[in-house]
Amino acid sequence: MTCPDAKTWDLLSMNLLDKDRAESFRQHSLECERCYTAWQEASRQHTELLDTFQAFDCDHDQRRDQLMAMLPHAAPISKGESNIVLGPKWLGGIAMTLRQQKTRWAAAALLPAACILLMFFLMAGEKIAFADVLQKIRQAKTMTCDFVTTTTVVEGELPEQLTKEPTRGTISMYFDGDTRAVLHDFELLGTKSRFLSLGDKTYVWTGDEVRVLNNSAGVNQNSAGVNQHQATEDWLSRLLDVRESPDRNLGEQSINGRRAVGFEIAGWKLGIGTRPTKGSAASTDSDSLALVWVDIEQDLPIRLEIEQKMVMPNLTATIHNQWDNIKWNVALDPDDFRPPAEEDIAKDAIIQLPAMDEVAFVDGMRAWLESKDKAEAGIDVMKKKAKEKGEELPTQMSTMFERAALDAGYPERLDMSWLMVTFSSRATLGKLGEMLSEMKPIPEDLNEEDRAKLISARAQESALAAAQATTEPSLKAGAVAGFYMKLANEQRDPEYFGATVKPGDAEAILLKWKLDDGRYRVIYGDLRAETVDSAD
Amino acid sequence: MKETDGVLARAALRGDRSAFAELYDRRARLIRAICLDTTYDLNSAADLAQEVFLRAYSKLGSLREPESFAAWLTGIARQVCREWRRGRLRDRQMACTLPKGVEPAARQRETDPRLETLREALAKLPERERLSLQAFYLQGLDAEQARTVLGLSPSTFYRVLAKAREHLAAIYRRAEVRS
Repeated sequence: MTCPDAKTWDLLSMNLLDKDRAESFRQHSLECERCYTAWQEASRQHTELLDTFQAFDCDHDQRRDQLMAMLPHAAPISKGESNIVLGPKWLGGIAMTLRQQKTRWAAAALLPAACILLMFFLMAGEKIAFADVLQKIRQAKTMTCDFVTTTTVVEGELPEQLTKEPTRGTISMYFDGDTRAVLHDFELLGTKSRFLSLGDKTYVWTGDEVRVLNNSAGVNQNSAGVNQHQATEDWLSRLLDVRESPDRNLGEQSINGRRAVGFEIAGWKLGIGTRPTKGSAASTDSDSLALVWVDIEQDLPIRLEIEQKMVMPNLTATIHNQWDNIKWNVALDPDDFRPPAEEDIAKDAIIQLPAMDEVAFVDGMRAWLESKDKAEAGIDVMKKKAKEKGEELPTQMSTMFERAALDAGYPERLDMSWLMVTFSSRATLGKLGEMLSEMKPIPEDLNEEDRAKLISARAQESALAAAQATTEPSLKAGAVAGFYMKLANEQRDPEYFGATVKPGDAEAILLKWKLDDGRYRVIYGDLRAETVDSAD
Repeated sequence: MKETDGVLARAALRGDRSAFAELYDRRARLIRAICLDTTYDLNSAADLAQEVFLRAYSKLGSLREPESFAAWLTGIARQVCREWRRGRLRDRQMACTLPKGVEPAARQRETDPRLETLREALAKLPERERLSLQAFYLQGLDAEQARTVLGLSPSTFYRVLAKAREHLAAIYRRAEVRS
C-alpha cells in the first residue's frame, strides 16, 4: 500500500473517510512508522482543535436563556423587513392637528408622546441599557397601546366637559417596507376622531369629515410644526446628548404586573417644549417632563408618561398624557393603515403647512394685529344679540375670548397653546359676528319643532364656519410659536417683549436673537427687521 | 428524528419559541466564531452573536428559503460584524481626540492562550478554509451540516477542510520553530 499523504491523515482524524478506507489506513499505520507518526500527529491536532473550539460554548445555556428572554413575545412578522426610521414628518402632521378646532386639545396632548417615540426611532443606541431599548424599538415593526390624556386646571376655568373625563383612545404604528404609518383613534366630546399619519400626509377624520394635512418634503424642514424644524441629523445629535446627560433613573417598579425600570428625561431635551433661554422666556413649557418605563424582560417600553404645561389667557392647565399597555410586534391588519379614497376628500380640506421663519413670524404678527378689529366687532354683535334676548354672554367667553380679542398690543406670550387659543379665538369671534349680523331673524310663525330644527341647523352651520375660519390663523400661530421655539432650541438666546411693546413703535424691540456671526437680528414694534452689532 | 433548520425556522415564524431556541443551540457556536474574527475577544463575540440572533428573529419573515437558515444567519453575522467594525473605527477616531491621560477602552485580549493561538492561526488562513474549520468543529463534527452552512459540495468541502488543516499545521510548526 502506498503511504497516504498528510491530508488523508487529517481527514481520517476527523472521521471523514468511509469505513473501509479508514480501516485500511489504520492497519497501514500500524505497519509503517512514518505513517503512524503522521496519524498520531493529525489525531493530536484534531483533539486540540476540538478542545480549543469548546471555548465557543461560552456560557451557551445561559446566553440562550438571555436571548429567549429578550425576544418579543409575539411571533415574528411573516413578510417584509424594515427598521423604524421615522422622520419628523408624521410628527409634524400630528403637530398640525393642533390647529384643528375640534381636536386641538387631544392633539396637543398626543404630540409630546409622539415626540418621545420619534426620539427612540431615531436614536442610535450602543452600550447602555437604555440604548438596548432603542435598538429594539428600531427593529420593531408594529406597536399598539392605549392612551389616556388628562387635563388638570391649575389656574382659571375650562369647560367642564374638557376636564371631567380624560380623553381615551388607541395608537397603532405599522412599519413595513415602505409603509410608515401611525394611527390614532379616540373620542372627543362625543365625536369619534382618527388621525392617520402616512408618509408626508396626515389624514384627519372628525365624524364623517376627512381632512388632509399636507406636509410635503419641500415645506417640511422649515414648516411650522412644533418639532419639525430640525433635520434628522439634529435629532440624532440631540438624542445622543440625552443619552449622555444625567437623566434620572427612576429604579424598578411593577407596571401592569411586569417588572420595569424607569427613566426620567427633561421634556425640552426631547423636543417637548422650549429649551430654557438665557433671555426673558416667552413660553412656559420648558419644564415638561417625560417618563419612560421599560419592561426588564423585553427591553421595550411598556409605558410612557408626559407632563406638559399649557398656558392660555386666564388659564393654566397641566396635560398628562400616558401611553399604556404598549405592545410591540403584534399582528396588525395593513388595511387599517390605508389612506381614504381620493373622492372622499374635499378639495378645500387639503391644508399646506406654512414655513417657520422670520417672514412667517412677521406675517403672523401682522395677521394678529389685523384680526383685532374683526374680533372686537364680533364681540359687539354677540353682546348685542344676547342683550336683545335678555341674556348675557357666558363668563368663559367674556374672559378668555375678550382678553384674547381686545388685547391692543402684540400677544403677551409665545407659548404654542397661548397663541393657538388667542389666534383662533379672534378668528372665531370675527366669523361668528359676521354670521350673526347677516342672520335673518327666526320667523315668528314657526312651530316649536321647526324652530328648534332651525336653531340647531344654524348652530351647526356657525360652528362649522367658525372652525373653518380658524384654520389659517392657527397655521400662522403655529408658525410664530414654532419660530420662537426654533430659536430657543438653537440656543440663539431669543428675547420677546410682546407684553410691553406697542404696535407701530419703530424704536422698541419686539423680538431679538443671536446670529451665527455674533451679531443680532432684531424685529421692532413696527415689524421692521434689521441686523445689529450689539444686543443693546 | 432531528428536525431540519427549515422546519424549525417555519415553526419559529409561527411563534414556536422553542424552535428558535433549538436553532440557537445549533448555530450559536459558529456565529460566535465568525464574530470572533472581528472582535478578537470571545465575550464581545458572544455579545455580537446575541445581536445576530435578535436580528435574525426580527427578520425571520423575510427568509425566503427556510432550509438555508444557517447560510442566511452567517450573512447576518457578517453584516453585524461590519457594523461593529465601523462602530469601532468611529470609537478609535473619537479616542484620538480624548484629552491627555484619558485612555480609550483597551481591546481586550483573549485570556485563554490556546484560543488566542488558534485565533491568530485561523486569521492567517483564507476565509473559506477558516470558515470550513469553524463550521466543522462548531457544528458537532457534522460534515454534512457544515458544508450546507457554507454552501459547498461534499468534495469541495473535504478538499477545503483538509487544506485548512494542512495550513494550520504548518502555521503551528512555524510558530513552534520561532518559539
